[in-house]
Amino acid sequence: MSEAVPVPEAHADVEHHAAHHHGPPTSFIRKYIFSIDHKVIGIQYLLLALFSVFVGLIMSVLMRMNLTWPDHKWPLLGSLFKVGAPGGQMSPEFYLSLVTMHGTIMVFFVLTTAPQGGFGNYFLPIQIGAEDMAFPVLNMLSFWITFVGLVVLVSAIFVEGSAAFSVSINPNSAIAKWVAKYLEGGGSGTVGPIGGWTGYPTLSALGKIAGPGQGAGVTLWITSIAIFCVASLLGALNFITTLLNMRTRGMALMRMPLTCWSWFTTAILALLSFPVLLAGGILLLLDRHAGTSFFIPGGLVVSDKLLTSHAGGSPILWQHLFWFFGHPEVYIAILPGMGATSHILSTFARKPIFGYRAMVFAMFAIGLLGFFVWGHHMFISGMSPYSGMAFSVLTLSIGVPSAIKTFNWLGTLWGARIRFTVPMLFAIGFVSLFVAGGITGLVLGQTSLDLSMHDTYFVLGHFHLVMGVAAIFGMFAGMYFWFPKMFGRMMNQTLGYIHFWPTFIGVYAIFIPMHVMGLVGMPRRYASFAEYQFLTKTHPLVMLVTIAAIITAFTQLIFLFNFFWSIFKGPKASDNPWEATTLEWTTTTPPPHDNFGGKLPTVYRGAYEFAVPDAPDDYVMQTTPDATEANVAADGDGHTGQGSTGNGHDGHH
Amino acid sequence: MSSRLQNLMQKQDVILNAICLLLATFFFILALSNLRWAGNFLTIDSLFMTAVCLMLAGVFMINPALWAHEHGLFAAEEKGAAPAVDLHFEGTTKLFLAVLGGLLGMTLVEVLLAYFKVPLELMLTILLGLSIIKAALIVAYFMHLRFERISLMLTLVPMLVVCICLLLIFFPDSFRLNKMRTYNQPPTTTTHE
Amino acid sequence: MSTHAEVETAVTADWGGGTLPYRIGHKKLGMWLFIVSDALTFSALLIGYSYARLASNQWPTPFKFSPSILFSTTMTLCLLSSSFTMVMAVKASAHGNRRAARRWIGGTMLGGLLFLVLHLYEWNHLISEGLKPFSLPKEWLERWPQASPLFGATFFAITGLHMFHVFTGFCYLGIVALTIRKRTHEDVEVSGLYWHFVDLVWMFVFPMIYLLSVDFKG
Repeated sequence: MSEAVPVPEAHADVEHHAAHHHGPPTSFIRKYIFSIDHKVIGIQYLLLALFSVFVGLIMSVLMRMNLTWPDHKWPLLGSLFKVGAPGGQMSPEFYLSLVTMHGTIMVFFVLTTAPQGGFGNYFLPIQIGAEDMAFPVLNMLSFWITFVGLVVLVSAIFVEGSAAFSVSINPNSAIAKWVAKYLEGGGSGTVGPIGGWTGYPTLSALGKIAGPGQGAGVTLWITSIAIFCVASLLGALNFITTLLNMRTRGMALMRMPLTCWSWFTTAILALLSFPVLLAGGILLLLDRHAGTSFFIPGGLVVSDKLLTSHAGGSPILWQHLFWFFGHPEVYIAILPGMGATSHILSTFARKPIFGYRAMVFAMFAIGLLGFFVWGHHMFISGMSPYSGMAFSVLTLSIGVPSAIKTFNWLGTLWGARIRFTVPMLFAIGFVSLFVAGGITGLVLGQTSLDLSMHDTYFVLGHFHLVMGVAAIFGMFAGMYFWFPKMFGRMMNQTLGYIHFWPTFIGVYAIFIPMHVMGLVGMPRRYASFAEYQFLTKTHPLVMLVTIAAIITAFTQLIFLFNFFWSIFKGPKASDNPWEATTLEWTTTTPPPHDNFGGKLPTVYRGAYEFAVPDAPDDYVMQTTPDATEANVAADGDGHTGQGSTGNGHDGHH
Repeated sequence: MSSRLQNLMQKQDVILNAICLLLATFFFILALSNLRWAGNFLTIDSLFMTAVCLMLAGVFMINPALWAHEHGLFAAEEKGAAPAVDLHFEGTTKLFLAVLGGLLGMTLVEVLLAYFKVPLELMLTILLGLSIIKAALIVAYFMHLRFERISLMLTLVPMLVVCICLLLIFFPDSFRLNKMRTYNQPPTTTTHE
Repeated sequence: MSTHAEVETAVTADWGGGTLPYRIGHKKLGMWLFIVSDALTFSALLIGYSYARLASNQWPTPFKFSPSILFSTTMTLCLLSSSFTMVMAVKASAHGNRRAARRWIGGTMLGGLLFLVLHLYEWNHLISEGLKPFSLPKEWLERWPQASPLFGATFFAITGLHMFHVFTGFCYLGIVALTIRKRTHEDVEVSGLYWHFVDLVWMFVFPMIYLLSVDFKG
């Protein structure tokens, strides 16, 4: 069976791994811009996400201000967006385009990009003891494709019409004409796509005739999503290959840090869900530009006109395709946060993670169930009620693995001598937010309740808490935790505390009142509630939310300052400032170009060996050999650890 | 570990597996009988029930299969020192020609079948069945998955199959849609003047 | 329980780290994962097509034996044969015979080219008949008065995307064949995987798009 030709095998093996022995680049461009070093790419992803998150944050504050003071004129806004906010007062279309762009930027370019692309890229190879990702060039490509996606998306805000866009190049050139044709339907006098981050047809599939905000902006929006799909898909297969193929000697699957498990699960979700969205995006683009009607039913009356050119499609098909991707996407956002939280809780509780195996299986269960429940976004879409029943039951069943994770986090904290560092605070905040936001998921998962709560502020409060803010807290925790390893300097602790408390209280002050507003019946995506009598009593709450949002947004400036100031002026960090056990803390700070200085580590134990009896410290690094194995390993040059049971392993050294 | 404890554990294993197998068979039979009773295969109820039953049967098969695997029932080939990368190439020209012949034959059968007037559902089932066999042949022999480690197959195929099965949940809506459409009625113009 | 222990060591040997658990290299695993993901794109499209077809009252069945069915069957044969030549190329490359591998890849590309030419001819024929992504020919509408206009849309979207894949595969194989001296066996194998995948997708597109829309009168 396994009869191998020895010579070509050894040959291929050498060649095979030769790709990874690339020396450190010297030129500036190769080193910092088109770098194939996963660490640089990770930081690039993080900076991209940092930029996006502040754009999204400003948009959300603008939206809050418009909701609270609908008649006020903001001169600055008026001069920036002459069309969208004439005289400084937002038009409803401008508000809706802010909703769309806020949602899209936050979901795709922050929640998907930063935890997976950023931290995952930087730390997955180091934590499994690899020199780089499996496909370094592909890794670089995925970042730059993501970047192009962001540029296209942001340009969607500024497209006020094909004319304006093509004039800026050269109106008569073929490219300009093609662009003008592609962007046909612009010139509607609004500021961007208004379809929401879900881009529901029929309106999004019709083009300019569907009214303002459905023209060129939506085309660019879909293009951006399609580009992003390709980028994440390439990233995901890179992650999976790296994790499966490049673990170092002794790094058995069940010894991996939970962060690696979470990135792995996330990558699988991305690999399987993005292609479906890609298919949907292609069809939607065809609907807009080839005149097809996949998502457009016949007999549609739009802007007082009967559409005769389209018939036979179904908008529900888009909703299915979109949410088949969309629900796993929610877990793509939150799972890395869960991984980082588990990792950080264990480290600062100085205790092994409670129920490591259960955590891994719960994570996979959440990932798997995440594919089974997309229909709960469509309970009132006209979907078959029969499917709705099944989706409801499956949705509620996600509560089980989520509860397992929560109990295990609490079990880890139980009776521990907790070190309340800044990352630890954010990790505990993650648990709190995850529970607070997740509980209402059980409410919304039931068809009967969802009928009345769908598209109200209740949903808004729910998903912002559980997938928005909780995931952001996971990122903050990760950033404060790994900052010393990434930049070689510690972040300021005091500023961190000052950042944490207003943020933590602020997000609750923002999103808990939203649940109440939703129960009163306040609908989502409305630019103004001035005309609705029954909502006047919620006005104090609206005011409270807005003030809390503004304060919380300004608090983030502290983080921004701390981040950039610490890169240059923070106190120097040692190799293992947190006394953690995993592989990234065994190498120098910051890690060298090939992560481990040419010699890959050997792993002897699981990732969370804290409070080990008889150990010299209260933690044991993953690379510390067992007493019995130590003697063997000493003369074997690391060739005698786990996993070296006689199989070939020539490539890594 | 005392031998008594080991005995007990083995007994437990056997009982657990027996229960699992029983349940798996039950659900499998349920799925099959549902196919028979439902009459029309392509309905919401039939598809849903069949899918759920098959899935449950699969879930209950996991434990016995794992147990069997642990006891070396499927693991006979995985012995001996394995090289880092298997470069051996199995399969002879004769084998590939045979596979090609089979594929071409099945294609011709498909084309011929297309000219028989049978109900659409039946036709779809036969054509898709043949196509799946063809795809399996291509994956197994041309793409060489048959000669890779079984773990690769176990990694790749289930996730694809699960996702494709999940996509089938779209269909209840398309059936509903068909019933809800108003054909032949020219849409009344509702322009608001 | 010696077998149990053996299995455990075997599992550790595979999954304990420091080794390639499937005994295949990065590129091959990456290509397999890409194929899984791309297969889902096509599944979603084909399921979207089935969705549209099942949701409509009437679906035209216009493909006459000649040229559509004849051509598409020939195209299937082309793709299948090219898959065979591809597997022979991989075999040759596994035995270290690069020159033969290049020749076989050339054969594969010929099959792919023939497929593309026939397919474009067939597209051209349908378009000249009046089939558009957004509308059906007049004669068809007379025959199937309630036919869904999505016929053209699904046809062009799915076969178009498949054609794009064939074209990409054609270029990919071309590059591999031209630079075969610098390529490892794995590179050849990976390009083969992609080509077989393109073939595999056609195995579903052909019956679902063509054979289920056969015109019995033709």
